[in-house]
Amino acid sequence: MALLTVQDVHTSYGKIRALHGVSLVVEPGEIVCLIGANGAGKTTILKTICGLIKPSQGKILFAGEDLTRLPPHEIVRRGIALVPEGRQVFSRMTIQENLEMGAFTRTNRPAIAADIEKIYILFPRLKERRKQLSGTLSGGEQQMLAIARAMMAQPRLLLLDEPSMGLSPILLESIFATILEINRQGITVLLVEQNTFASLEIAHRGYVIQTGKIVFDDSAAGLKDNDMVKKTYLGIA
Amino acid sequence: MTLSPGLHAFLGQLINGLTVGSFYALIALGYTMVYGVLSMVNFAHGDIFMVGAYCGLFTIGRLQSIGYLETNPVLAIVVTFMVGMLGASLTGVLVERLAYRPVRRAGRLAALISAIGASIILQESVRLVPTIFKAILDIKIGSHNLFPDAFISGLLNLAKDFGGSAAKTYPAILGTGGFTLAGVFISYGRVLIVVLSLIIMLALYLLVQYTRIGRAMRAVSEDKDTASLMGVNVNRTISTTFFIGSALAGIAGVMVGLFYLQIRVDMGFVPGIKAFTSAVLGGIGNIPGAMLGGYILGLVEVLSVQVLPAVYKDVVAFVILILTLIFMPNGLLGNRKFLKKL
Repeated sequence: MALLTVQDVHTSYGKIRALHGVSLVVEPGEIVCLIGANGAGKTTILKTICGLIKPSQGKILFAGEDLTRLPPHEIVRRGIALVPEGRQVFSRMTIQENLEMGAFTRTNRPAIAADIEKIYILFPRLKERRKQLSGTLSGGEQQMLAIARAMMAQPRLLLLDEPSMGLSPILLESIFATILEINRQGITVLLVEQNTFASLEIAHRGYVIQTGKIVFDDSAAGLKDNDMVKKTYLGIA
Repeated sequence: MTLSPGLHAFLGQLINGLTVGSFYALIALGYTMVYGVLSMVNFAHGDIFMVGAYCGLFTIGRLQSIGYLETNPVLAIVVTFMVGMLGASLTGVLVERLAYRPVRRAGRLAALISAIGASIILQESVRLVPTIFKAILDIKIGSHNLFPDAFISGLLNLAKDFGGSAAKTYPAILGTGGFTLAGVFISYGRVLIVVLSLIIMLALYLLVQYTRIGRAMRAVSEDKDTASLMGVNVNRTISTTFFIGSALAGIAGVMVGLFYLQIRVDMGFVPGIKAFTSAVLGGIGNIPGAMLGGYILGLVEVLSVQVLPAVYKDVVAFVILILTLIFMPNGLLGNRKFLKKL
């Protein structure tokens, strides 16, 4: 059974319609990427899945359960965590507090503390600065923190919205290595990325979205070979 | 040791300033907490303080009439504080639910107008309590009263303490006792107010800083959407914030009643604006800032009486408000770097 099924979802912001019947499927263990231009509706799809935006029509199923009418704080309890666009770390909280916020739905304190230690092994930079306000971190460190914070919820599905935005090529590489590592631990990933090339390197499959509609989908290798994808999103003539 | 008369008066005013500052600080915390989570000024907050004072008066009046205030004054005062707190808290939660939540996405002007409406409704509701009671109790069937006479007089007696246009009076329980320190007389009432306020503020600070609900409040105040992605129930956290902020106002209401004895339905207006000034002075949204602002305003106000005619006391607060808004809109402790995007 698919882990996530998005069925014919329509979403609008006021009178502006953002999604016109989006359907997609994510299987357990996959990395799936959404490819599309600015304003195509990629972020809207992620926000709709995690409940920040309610669809006007359509359904979202997660592990067989209908999430469509649930508020975001209930959806995260079901096992979906979002790393939002622009990181959105709590800048007036320390790094440690941000990680604890990530584990807000959990109650087993020793397990939370152990997970935070694991995160610190993965990201030694965060450990050095655990008592600092996270607003003082650099963009790359904030991105690491945002991903680590989402992992603290112990999600089965991790949604990532533009994790490479504003980062240097070296940092981009380390973020993508982190995503691969997370996936190897058995967590399913749905990735939205401007950097089509990098995301097709790590993804198993991808969907191409244009003006609120999925136009086609294929394996990552297939998308890399697709003429339209090459021309429009990879910049290869 | 004898002090010069000037220094003597100064120290006396200092104690006075700390007392008044405690009231302002407690009320200011409610403004700043609500501003933190909703980015709106709760203009009904002064009236929630008033409701706390009336709930306290109602309670202490009942305890007095059954003689409990005489036999066990400490417990009677504790119960009075509890009821005042709870009355204000429930009022605050109700105001948020009925007046603010429906207009939360409708912009700041809508929230402001709704807040002013809530303020008027609260004042008039408390004022009209005896009238409404009387109207209901006066219902007659034919020439007979619907309710038995004893019931009517009993309920009217209860409603007497609650509302009406005239000032109501708390029993003078704090008394005039006190002690003399370096030639300055300090009443026990003032000590109670200042110490209790400081304890409550410390408790609030610890709650916000170190508990799960406190962390949820801080997360909501920084970014509601991201907080909800972490699993925080945003609506419930906002209700909790109103509950706690209003409880502090309720405590201040009971304190003012016990200390100044007289309360009125419009008593929330001036302290409300002064507490708002305190919150702005300290940096609105910032909890230690509200405490600091409250005490600074209290002290400046009483010291101004030393150099200016007493009638200018209120002017001083408003001048501070205007100057802060013009020259230092982030307040003393508001951090410019992390100030919320408006």
